Amino acid sequence: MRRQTSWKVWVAAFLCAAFVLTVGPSDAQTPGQSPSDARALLLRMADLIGKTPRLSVTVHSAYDTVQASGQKVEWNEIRTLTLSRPDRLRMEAEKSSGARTLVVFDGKEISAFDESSRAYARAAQPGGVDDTLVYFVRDLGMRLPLAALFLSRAAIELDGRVRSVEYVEKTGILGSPAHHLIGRTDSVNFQVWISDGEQPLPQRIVLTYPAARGQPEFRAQFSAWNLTARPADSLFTFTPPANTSKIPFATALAQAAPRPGGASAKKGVK
Amino acid sequence: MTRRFWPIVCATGLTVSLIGTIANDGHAQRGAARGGRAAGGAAGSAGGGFSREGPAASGGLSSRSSGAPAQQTRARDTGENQAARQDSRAGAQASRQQSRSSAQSSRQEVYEDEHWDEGKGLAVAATGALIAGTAAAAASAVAAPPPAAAVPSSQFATPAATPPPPAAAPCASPTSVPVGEVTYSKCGSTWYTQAYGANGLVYVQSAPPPGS
Repeated sequence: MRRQTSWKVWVAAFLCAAFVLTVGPSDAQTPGQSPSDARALLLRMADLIGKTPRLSVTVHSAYDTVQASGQKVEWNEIRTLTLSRPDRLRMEAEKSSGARTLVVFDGKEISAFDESSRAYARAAQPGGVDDTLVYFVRDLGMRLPLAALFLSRAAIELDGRVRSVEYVEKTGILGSPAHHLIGRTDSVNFQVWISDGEQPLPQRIVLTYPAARGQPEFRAQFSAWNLTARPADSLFTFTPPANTSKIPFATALAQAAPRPGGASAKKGVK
Repeated sequence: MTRRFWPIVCATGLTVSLIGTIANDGHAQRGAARGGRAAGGAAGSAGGGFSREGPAASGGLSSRSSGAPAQQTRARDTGENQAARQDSRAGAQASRQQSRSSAQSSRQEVYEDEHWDEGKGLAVAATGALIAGTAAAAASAVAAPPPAAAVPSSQFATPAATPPPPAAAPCASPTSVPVGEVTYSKCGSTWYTQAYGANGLVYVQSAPPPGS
């Protein structure tokens, strides 16, 4: 009798331990979300945005700058981006200071307008949205955060640059169910919350620059995604308002400007 | 006997649960420690106001702070007995250096193509020597800025949430000279022209206007 009871106790204890060890951890992770699934989820998100011909979205973003004192300052802005492939884009931005800017790709020209300064700059558009985004950011030195997400080849771009992706958890903390992923490129760590469901769109993105002093972050909260937008043609037209002046892009002047003291300019002429 | 059975089962289950929880906490803490590595670097800063420039401003998936391919060239060791072979080696070396330099240049181009959003253009546009003032810096430099002219603009679909800041100026009382589409501003003996930078209007040191 005593030997029989002891046997039952040990079997029950084993089953109990097995239950805790197997069921417990599986509550913390969604089944089937291995690291390879995390990458696939990230690329599905990029592919959806890249293959959507017309869309609009509002982005509340903030970024840190580390001051000489070591203190961080957070700068906030709201951007509304409207995209109509293959070659048109409009981005309205309002900074926390109240300054508003407008960027328009009309298919032929890039226009950038600063409302408070009553000034605008223009440059020829080098091609479709993809080429123009790269030119705008790299060559004109302008800001268009997360521009890579809006390329038609966004999935290829991310696949080539993202070195690792991991699945963190499924959460509803942002208002609707989302998958929380973390990842790294060569120089940036990122977190992204992607909507669960048929339209895997980003709800929030956090970029961390680990090699920069103070490890500043860029944070973006997406809202009002519209993948069936039908923007009017007039939205992609920029007509300079009265009493505004046309100015060049700073990168164009920076390349042509004399060095301090004018020494280099004089040296070049013999 | 049955009375001893269930307490033992429950105690065992509780113990295993506690061990599991402690193990998970330890794992999470190790993960946090792994994520907390720091590295050196530098962020730009402006003199008067607070700097808006920095790696995070670009919101890019690459950063100039790290990750750029190395540009070092290796010096080749030479010994005393190499004089006889020097001519032919020099020719071969020049050829190798040229191809190496070409390969490096090519790799750099590929890198820049792949990391086009790392903020290189932002850095060019924000070169301190050329930019005399930004809206923020100028606003702080001007003793008493004029009240902001809240010019309603049909360019924007939504009304502004915050009153717009005053228009920038390169110094407190510049002399402005419009020449065609370009407005030159003189502060002391230095001339500036307006330009469109990453964060809006900036002033770039320039040559004097034609005919001045």
